[in-house]
Amino acid sequence: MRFRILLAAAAATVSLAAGAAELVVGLSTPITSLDPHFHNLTPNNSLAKHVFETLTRNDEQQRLVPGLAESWRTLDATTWEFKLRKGARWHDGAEFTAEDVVATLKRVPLVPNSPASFAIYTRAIKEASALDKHTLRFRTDKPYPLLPNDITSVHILPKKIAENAKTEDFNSGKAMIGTGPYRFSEHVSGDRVVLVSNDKYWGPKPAWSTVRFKMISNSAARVAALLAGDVHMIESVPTADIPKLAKDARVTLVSAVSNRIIYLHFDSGREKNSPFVTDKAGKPLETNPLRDPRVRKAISKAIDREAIASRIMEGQAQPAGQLLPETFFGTSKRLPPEKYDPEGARKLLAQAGYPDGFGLTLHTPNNRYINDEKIAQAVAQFLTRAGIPTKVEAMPSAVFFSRGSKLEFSFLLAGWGAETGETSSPLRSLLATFDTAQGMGGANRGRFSDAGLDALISTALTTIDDTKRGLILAAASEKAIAELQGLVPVHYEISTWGMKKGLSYKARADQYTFAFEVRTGR
Amino acid sequence: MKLLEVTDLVTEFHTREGVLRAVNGASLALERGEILGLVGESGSGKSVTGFSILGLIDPPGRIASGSVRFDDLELLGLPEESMRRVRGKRIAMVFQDPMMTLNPVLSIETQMMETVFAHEATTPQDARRRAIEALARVGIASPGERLAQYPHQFSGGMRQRVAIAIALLHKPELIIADEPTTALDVTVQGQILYEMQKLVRESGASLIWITHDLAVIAGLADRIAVMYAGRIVEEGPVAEVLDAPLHPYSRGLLDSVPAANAGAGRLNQIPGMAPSLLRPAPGCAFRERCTRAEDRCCDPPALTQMNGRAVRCCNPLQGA
Amino acid sequence: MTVYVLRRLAQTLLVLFVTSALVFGGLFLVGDPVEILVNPNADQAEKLRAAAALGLDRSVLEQYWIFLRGAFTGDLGRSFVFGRPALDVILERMPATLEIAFLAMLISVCLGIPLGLYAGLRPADPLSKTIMAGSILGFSLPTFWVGLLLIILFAVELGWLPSTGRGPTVEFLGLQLSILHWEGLRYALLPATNLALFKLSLIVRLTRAQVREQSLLDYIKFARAKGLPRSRVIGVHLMKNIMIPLVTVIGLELGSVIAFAIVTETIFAWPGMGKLVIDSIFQLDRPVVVTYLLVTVFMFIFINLVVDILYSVLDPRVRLSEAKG
Ligand SMILES: Nc1ncnc2c1ncn2[C@@H]1O[C@H](COP(=O)(O)OP(=O)(O)O)[C@@H](O)[C@H]1O
Ligand SMILES: [Mg+2]
Repeated sequence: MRFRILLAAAAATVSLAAGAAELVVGLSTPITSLDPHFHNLTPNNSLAKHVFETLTRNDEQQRLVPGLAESWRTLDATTWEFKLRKGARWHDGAEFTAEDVVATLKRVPLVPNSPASFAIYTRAIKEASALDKHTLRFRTDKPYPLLPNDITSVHILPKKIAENAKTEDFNSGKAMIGTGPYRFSEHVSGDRVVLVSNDKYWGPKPAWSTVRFKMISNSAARVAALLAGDVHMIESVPTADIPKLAKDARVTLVSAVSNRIIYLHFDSGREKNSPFVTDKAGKPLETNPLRDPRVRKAISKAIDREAIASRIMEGQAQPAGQLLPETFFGTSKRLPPEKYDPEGARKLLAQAGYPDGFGLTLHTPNNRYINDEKIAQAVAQFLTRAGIPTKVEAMPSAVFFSRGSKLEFSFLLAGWGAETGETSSPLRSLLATFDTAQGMGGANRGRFSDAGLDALISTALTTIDDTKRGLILAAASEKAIAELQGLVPVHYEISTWGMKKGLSYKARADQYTFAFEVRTGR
Repeated sequence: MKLLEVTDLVTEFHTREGVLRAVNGASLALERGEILGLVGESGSGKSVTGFSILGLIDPPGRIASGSVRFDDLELLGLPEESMRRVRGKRIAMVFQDPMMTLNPVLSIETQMMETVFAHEATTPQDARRRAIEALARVGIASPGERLAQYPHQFSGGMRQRVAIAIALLHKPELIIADEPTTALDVTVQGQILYEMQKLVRESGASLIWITHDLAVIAGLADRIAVMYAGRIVEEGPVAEVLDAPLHPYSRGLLDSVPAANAGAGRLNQIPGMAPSLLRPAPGCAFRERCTRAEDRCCDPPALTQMNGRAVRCCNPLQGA
Repeated sequence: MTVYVLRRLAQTLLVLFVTSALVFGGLFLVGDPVEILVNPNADQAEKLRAAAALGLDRSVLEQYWIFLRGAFTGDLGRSFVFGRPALDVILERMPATLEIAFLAMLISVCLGIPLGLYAGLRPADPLSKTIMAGSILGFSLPTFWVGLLLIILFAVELGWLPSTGRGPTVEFLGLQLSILHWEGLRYALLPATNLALFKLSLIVRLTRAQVREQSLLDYIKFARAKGLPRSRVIGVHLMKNIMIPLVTVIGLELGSVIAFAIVTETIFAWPGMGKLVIDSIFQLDRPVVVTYLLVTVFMFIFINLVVDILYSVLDPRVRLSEAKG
């Protein structure tokens, strides 16, 4: 009997959903948790931003725009005041107030068992107080200009939930109460998340009555699901399918240069016996040529970025000359991609004392970035041609990052997505001197170090004035790349979304897939 | 009218090497209640003759020509369903190896009752009762209990008794027993032989007893047919044939029976090997091994009838 | 019989223990979960916090000891990624895998045995030859490729069936099953077919070989000599005998279909255990991987036990020897 009723209910759901305005989206990576403060991972955050909102947020080019906060300003170098939006309501009808934000900030660092905490975004805030229902004040220890950027990842919960809810309560749906344009409806782990529109949303009315996110990690299957009409939109269209889909009349593709750079990192820490540097015969080389900026420059010149972007990436990459594309904050106008110049590379090698070159092994992940292993193979070929015979060793990212962080490599390929949407993010993590106490150089797997660059970065990180900070960051980028060759940029990934004809989406630099930004018509 | 008349039966197997004539124009006849001993060396086509009568030749084999008349029925070319109604009901067969005849995964009860149901619509109780009776008749103690058991719980001799009980279930008019004692211990052989003879006599059924052992035939059969290379080479009343065989091959068989020449202290094996059935040479098939072979043996010998006996030889022993 | 079960139980525990130790050690050598779990923007302090939160700041022996202590009370640890008990995560995904595995085996058995029978009984028939040729294809085509082909054919071109994902479910005996729901079954059909193809070929070939071998045996001829109808000779006498080896193989294959559903689940975005464990391996989510393997090993052993029992039901000769032992 019970069986029958359930059956009828399930059938009813299906037919209802099919009739109304529904958007079905194929996601490339599974959502692992619905708790917006548990596992800091792109698909989790992307989903959270439909149900929950943040005080500040990024537009499609990662420029800061108001969210639950209408405006913000600094009162002095360490005090921030945020004016909150009036009229925003929680899904249960209660009014959104400053108290909710204060309670949320308390919860973030305390979520138990979190594998990737959101505390990195709230750590700078030493004190948060609600002046009135719609005015907040934050105090930091040091001047911290990135505070508005950081809190684009802090999803605000109602006070009651922030104080009481456990991660399980979000996964069960009980605690999924936000202010966002969509309300939570259903979650089947590893399969789908279903949202329904929040008709009382303070902002523009949600265009879809139902949004269904289906997790389809296999890219060929994702494309097939789009072509079969089972989903209306997919993210991360595989590069190999792009030429075919571009010609398909049923499909629209949109793309944007992302905030992720693919780069080469060198062992510039060890003076001697870098593990994978050999002479031409394959015997370990005692001196470490990679410490010499001329050698690194030679490697940069030896790579034909245009060829990699067009042939390996099928046009889904933009050759890079610095840490972020020029449109981002804190970039330099004077850093075009290094020209392909194998002759120049040889000359530089000779100047550096390696007229006959030397041998290298390039380590790369093979399941982390778009075509990662293929790019590494191409780089190796270019280097081999320029007189540096290079082998490639590819491995799953789980192995790669562990070994990389233990400094087991001499030369590696990796990627960096600037979450903050400005250059201090890659500068401090990849190029600042490794310093656990200061939290600098966390992903500096080559142990590159330059005191002058460190000084520029720390100045930038304490300069509140945006214009000034932008100039300092640009200068730091020029120093790090053009002068010191702290790393060699290869390209910026281009992210592509595919959707059925008639839908439109503003392709985003941060790779998020937002159903509330998907429109019908032009 | 004869119960069974097999005339010019040809059964061949299409093998990779060519067409193999296992039975090459054999003829047999049997009266009601008569026991016929069918003897011959291994490979001479005795079993294939038996299976041909029952229509149990499967591809790559086929019955190429001839006729098998059973009572008023022509069995060759009979529709499958009519043939099925003859098998097990009017003609039953007992096989050589009792270890292989019964289905190892079905109980004796199942295997007996299904035989009853195959030919009669009756109640399970009745079928069971008849199965128990049949087991008792072949000398199986506490048949009610044994019925529930499986073949592996029986000895070889016991299994053959079960097979015989199954064959007798429908009181068949003809039983073809294909060397039913060959695979058994010598002591058991005698018992089975004795009981089989008794049961057949009691029921008045006819019996074709296939064997390569002449000693068994002597006490059992009314008539004897000697088979060689797919043909019947000699046929006649058992006493006459054994006393005075006409065909040199029959003589050879007799000489190779241990009891017959116990005094001589040696066995007279027939020299040479059985001929190839794939590409038979023209003329008498026994020619190559025959001490009496002459030039005219190169022509195929005809079957000669005399005084109720028949022989297929150009140069028979008692120069008729 | 009890001795037999006890001995099996002891063996099971030993196998589970060895499996857990191997996986634990293996994953430890592969890499540090913290490196892959924390956000790349995290600084060193956050990495230390994450290591402590996940219990990864202790020595590997200490971690294993904690795991063993928990395992004896039924606690197999908490998933790093999901933050939930690993066993819950696995069990939540298990019905999805089990249902396509069973559906696949059902397809393989329901099609494979009749096709194998046909090919075995009529070896010279052109249809039989087609069946056998088809089974070679089923063996040799890669699952991944066939999966995509099925999607392109039945979902993209013909539009008959959904391309990916799992349909609506119905609760049955406490399990969420989609194959009991008409719409859900439509979703399950392509992945189950994909998974079934290899097993189907195997069963066709095995059945045919068995039929060929058994039909020549005397008991079949004797059954026919008794005057049994062909249907009974094949349906009872032949089938009961060929089922004995078939049941063993079907049992073992059911185990392997569950274990190797990974590829199919990935292509069809089927939210089962296989897909989960692949993601978990890449994220070094050790508790989930260890639990998955323990559950799988346990399932294998359980299926083996069921096969043994079935075997003894089917084959009276086995029943006797077991009673002795
Ligand atoms: N199924 C078969 N396929 C091929 N040849 C067969 C088959 N059955 C019997 N034969 C051949 O037919 C000949 C006669 O066999 P059979 O009648 O069994 O001899 P026997 O007189 O020992 O009973 C033998 O040469 C045997 O090899
Ligand atoms: Mg024989």
